[in-house]
Amino acid sequence: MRQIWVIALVFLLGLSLGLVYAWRIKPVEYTDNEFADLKPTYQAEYVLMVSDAYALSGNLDAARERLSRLAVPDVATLVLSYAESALTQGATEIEIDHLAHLAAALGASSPALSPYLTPTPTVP
Amino acid sequence: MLDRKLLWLRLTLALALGLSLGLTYAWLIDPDEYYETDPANLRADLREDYLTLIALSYRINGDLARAQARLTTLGKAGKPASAAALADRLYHSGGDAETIRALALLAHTLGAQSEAVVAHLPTATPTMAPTPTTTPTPLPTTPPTATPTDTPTATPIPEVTPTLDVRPPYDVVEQRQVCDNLEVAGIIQIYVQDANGQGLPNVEVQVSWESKRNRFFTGLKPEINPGYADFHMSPGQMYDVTVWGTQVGDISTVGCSSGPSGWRLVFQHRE
Repeated sequence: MRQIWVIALVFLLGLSLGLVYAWRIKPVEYTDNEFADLKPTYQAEYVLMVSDAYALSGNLDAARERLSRLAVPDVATLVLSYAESALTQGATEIEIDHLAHLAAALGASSPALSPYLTPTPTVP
Repeated sequence: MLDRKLLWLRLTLALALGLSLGLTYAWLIDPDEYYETDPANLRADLREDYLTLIALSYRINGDLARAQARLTTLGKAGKPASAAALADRLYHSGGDAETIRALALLAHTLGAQSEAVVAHLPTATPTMAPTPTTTPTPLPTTPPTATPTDTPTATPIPEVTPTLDVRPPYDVVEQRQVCDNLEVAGIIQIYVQDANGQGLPNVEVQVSWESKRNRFFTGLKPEINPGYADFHMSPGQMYDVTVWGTQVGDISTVGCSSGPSGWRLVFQHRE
């Protein structure tokens, strides 16, 4: 009778080890992922690069199509939020500028970003 | 003795069975659904799009370190040879010239060569530093000059490595201080032209002084010239004027005995 309990305990130990290993130590690695599956830091990089590409080509349809792959309901708000984050997180002027222009082209803007969108000359 | 062996056998089997069931359940039946991935695990076509974006971004910001860091996250797909190979494939399939050029530039900078890389990099141009120190910010509505003069041929890759032209696309063809003209006094007049001398609207101009900067575009006064823009200076202040990375410095109202001076600057796009 005692043997059965020991065997059951060892079985449970094996089961636990299997679960921990497969869930935590070496979880399933998904390949063929979509952009929406990227880690947040890479998604931010992606949006920034899309804004760079837009600054280079002026192709808003291409930018919109690329952003749609992130599977967010409102890409304009997404870009705007990245632009506003860039303002406070030490991004370069060029990065903020590109994000602000893309957000504006998509129909989103905020007062904090308006200096990057002012096209008219002013007297200093 | 036999009982002992039997016990160990049963324990080993129980452990193996438990382990197998645990792995099967966690890997196949109910894998961890919450995951976030790296660019290296993207679908193959999306990896190529990510690589293209890295190249386009590098083309506009010239930040090689950042491009390399981004390429690293792509794993094998981020090797310079991958950029060259993708440029080749797009080149032969009639892909977008700007994209091919960007990939070719990135591949070339990182030491990879291919037919597309050779074909899309200008030859016989002066050697400059590979990373521009001034990053131009183009207006999206005015794409940079992409003159796809390259035509696919089956000729072998030349031995001579072409020199990469990373000069800003504009030359300063006139930089003149204007005295004795009240209409121009205290004003920087900026004219941006194409290679044929025609005014170019919607070109971004940056004027900077101390730690401040103003950005505006040509074409706001088409009655003067389609490529015209101007800026009002403050007396005694020194200004730098930049058009697409081409900079003219030390502009001020000082220098004319008759009063505040004006300036006329003409930027012309290179052929």
